[in-house]
Amino acid sequence: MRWVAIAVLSLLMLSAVCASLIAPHGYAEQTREYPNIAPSREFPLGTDDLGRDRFSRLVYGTRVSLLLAPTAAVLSTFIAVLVGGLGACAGVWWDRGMSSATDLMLSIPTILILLTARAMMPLNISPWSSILITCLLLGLLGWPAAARVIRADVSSLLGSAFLLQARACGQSRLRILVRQLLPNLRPVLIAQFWILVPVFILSEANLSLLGLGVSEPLPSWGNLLRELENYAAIPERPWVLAPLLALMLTILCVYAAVPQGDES
Amino acid sequence: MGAKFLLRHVARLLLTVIAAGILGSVVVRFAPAYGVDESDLDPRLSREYVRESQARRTDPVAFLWGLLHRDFGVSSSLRRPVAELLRERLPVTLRGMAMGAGIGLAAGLTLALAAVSIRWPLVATAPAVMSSVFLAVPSGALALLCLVAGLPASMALAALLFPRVYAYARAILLRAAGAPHVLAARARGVPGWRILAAHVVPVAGPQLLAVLGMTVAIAFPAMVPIEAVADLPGVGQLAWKAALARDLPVLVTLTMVASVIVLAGNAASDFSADAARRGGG
Amino acid sequence: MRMRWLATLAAVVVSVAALNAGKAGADLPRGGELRFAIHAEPKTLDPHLVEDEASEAVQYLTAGVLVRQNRLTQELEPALATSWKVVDGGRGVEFRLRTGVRFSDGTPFSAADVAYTIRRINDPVLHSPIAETLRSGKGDITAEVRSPSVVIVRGPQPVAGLPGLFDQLPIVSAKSPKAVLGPFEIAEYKAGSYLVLRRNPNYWKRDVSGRPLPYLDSVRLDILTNIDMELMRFRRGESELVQGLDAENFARLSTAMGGAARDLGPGLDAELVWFNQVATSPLPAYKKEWFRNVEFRRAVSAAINRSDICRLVFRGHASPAAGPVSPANRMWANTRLKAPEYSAERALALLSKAGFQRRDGTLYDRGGHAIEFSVITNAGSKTRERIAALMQQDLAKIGIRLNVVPMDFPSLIERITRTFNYEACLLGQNMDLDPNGNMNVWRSSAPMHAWNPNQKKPETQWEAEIDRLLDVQASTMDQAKRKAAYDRVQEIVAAEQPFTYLVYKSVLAAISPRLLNAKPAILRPQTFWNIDVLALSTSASR
Repeated sequence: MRWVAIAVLSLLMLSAVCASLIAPHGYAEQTREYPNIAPSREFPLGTDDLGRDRFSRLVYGTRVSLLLAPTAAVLSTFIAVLVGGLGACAGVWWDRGMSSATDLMLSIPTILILLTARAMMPLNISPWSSILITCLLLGLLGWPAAARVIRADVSSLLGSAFLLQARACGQSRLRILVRQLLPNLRPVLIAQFWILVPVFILSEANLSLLGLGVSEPLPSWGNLLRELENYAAIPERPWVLAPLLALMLTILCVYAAVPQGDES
Repeated sequence: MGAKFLLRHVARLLLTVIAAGILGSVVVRFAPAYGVDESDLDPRLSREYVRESQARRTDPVAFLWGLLHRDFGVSSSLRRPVAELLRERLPVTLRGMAMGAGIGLAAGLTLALAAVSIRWPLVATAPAVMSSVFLAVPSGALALLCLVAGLPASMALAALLFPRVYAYARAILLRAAGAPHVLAARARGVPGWRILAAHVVPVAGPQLLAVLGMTVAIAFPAMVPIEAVADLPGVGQLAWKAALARDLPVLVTLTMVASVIVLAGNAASDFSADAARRGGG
Repeated sequence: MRMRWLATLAAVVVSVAALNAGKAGADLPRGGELRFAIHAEPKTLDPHLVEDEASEAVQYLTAGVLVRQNRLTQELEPALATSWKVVDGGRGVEFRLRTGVRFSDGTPFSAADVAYTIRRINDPVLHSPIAETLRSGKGDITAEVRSPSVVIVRGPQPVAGLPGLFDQLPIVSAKSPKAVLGPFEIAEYKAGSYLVLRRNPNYWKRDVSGRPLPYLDSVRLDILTNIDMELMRFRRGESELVQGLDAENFARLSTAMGGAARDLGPGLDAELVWFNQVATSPLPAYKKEWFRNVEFRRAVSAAINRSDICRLVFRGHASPAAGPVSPANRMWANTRLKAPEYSAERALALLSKAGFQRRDGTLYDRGGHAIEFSVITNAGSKTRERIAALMQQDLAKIGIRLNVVPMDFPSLIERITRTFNYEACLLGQNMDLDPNGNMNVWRSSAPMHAWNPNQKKPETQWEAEIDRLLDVQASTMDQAKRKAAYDRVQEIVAAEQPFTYLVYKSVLAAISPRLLNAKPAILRPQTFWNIDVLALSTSASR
């Protein structure tokens, strides 16, 4: 099962990399004579309102989303470990400071921080720089909830027998963190990563409402999924569900591909 | 001991709420387009008129001064007292949160427990598939689907929280189930449910309670898109409109309310974790 | 003299119209609740502080005015005033008031209430936007009570088309702040959810058979921001009207409910794009030079395929735009103007004349800069995102690279009105019917002169000419002269392209078959402008 999942993920990655070879049309190419048509040999998933090939947009969107979301997820998981883990390890005052920072981050309206970021960016920015910035913003803002769980996990691990033993043996803090704590945190970190990838793929679509993220004509799974909000159109054109299926398949495969810790 | 513990928590709560208020007002005041609204584009109105009315509505000093005197001010976008808006809308959101978070938590924890104790492939796969569906559908679309199906929109919150609760809880429980004493108990032939009740859950208790704290923390912001899409008159919808309108009095007050909710969630989980640890120890 | 004659004629026309309505009215059922959605929370319930659309709807349904513009014929009709005449060379209007009218609380209405209303809107503490519309310059508006049924209202300066502005001025009671003169009064308001308006028992209007109007018992306004929710309710029969439909939902509704969806034809709203020509803007000098070059603007206009926008974005429910005034504005549109034909070749010829060159598919200016600019638009509008995507491809054909930057509305407003940190903007424009209502857009010194606002003196000859023509039309009471001047303004705008008008959107609405007497019009409030004669059929079940 695990290998099937890895194979599917590799296939998705490969299609993202070789998008220009697989996609029958350009992602921005408008065939204005054929808007909103049903799937055909030329347009395997039909066309959108502007006559763009949905399949080609999905393939190119894979490239954007599979690059953006995992990178942002790694970044925010890293920050969550840093804040949550160090908070629990480095003494009472540090812990309180980090906890308060987490609480404040969870309380303030982050949308305004994003708007400020947009205001500071130039207008004529290349799509890929815009994606990179979005990636950074998502990573930098997505850690607080996870930091709480990691902090609780680390503080409970600190009281466990094997760590007391490690300490008694005179192991340094850094060594304890790297050799003892991190391996034990792995299941929680994997869970965190698994959740954040789809969350960030969808957040990217919401960010485009603020002028951040991927804008026309570049497709992403996020902005393709925004079509689902027009739910009444789905029965007429069920093929618009393709991005949803692609995302679900990816989430399932990531879940199945990464060891969950139950084999140990 | 109890009084000191309580005092410390209350002091921390107060400090964090004040810090959230200050930080919130700085973020709003220096956000782009503060003090700008659609009347700027109304061709009927002169610039002097527009500027004067905007200045009347968006004076941050007057608002903060009022706040010191326990006056939450008047919303600059809805032009109604913020206290009144909160009184009307907070119960709607809290009810939605309680229902959504309750169902999400219960379902996530139950299925995580089932996945750890019953080792049938289906028990592990079904929640994973369910989680994938819930994670892949945008929360706005989830809220709409709930309404179409005749369910309350807060069920979308349950769907949103379920994968998170399930994933974290399962990870935590799996690790606890791999501890040497649990393996020993299993080898001795102790029944699965007893191992779970006596050895796994008590060990994983504090971390599971942190998941509860996290749930409360993410449920509040998650209500924003749900209420916005389902047109529920709660504070989530208010927050979204206020952010787009740079409504300082509403946003600062909501920041403080959010910090109280987040801290209350944390305090509840810390307190019970502390109790569990002491009880367990 | 002429004006009085016109007013009398208008009164006769209305009486005949009322007679016709009455014929239909004799067998119209009474009672029932009309339900529809407003798309935002009303920002105010004070009729004199209304700026937003939602408050405007409540104001329209509850407030009484001296004169009412018929939204279908676009003519003025008597309301609380039975006749009026312009006095003091266009500075004032003398109103003869209807007698025997009572407020919703039963107190009588008289000229003293009109005088109180005028005093109230003048109050600087109230800060009323309506006073802004009525007064043309500095100074107060005054009301002189001649008798309980005659009042003269004067402004500081003469204003052409002054009587029409009184359609916007709700008359309030000098004695009771909550009493109204409109067909309905507010019965219940649940913030964030709904408003219920109940029939005003003392409403002055009657149908020909003498039955008091309105026919409806109440109106329920649900506050819904989500169009999907609104459509769901309409389809379930839980509401009777949908205003402001977009083409996609219109198509869906037409399929599902046949005749309920109505295309009322091109409206007054246009979609347009313009370049930032502000001299002090933080743009590089070479870009400012492009945007201030008329050939460049004409070329961009010629390169945009307006028919494709109408067909693909609006599914045929729009028409290519020629200039600022839509043909829907029957009195003021310049019908000689024709929408520019799409032609990439003509665009390239214009550009080459202006010194631009295309090499390897990219357009360069004389200084060797590749032509690339961004267009900002309000995020969340699928329509504008699609228009921008079409423009992107159209302009790519002539070697221009267009970057689309959606942003939230306040950020966009800040850029176009304060920081001027933008290159081009794609937005909608809602023009007032009368040119006087659009002075803030066309005058070079005005704040809404979006491409280059607040000029100390006109920076170009053609802007100076527009300023002069505006003065001409504002200072004369001769309708033909006004029309000629405003026609010329439209021609200059079409030639100079400070605004590149793309399409006039059709007004799309949905009206339940249960709603009787509906005569939707393109002027707001499009579907319920004749609220006092709307009725609900009792035969169909809810």
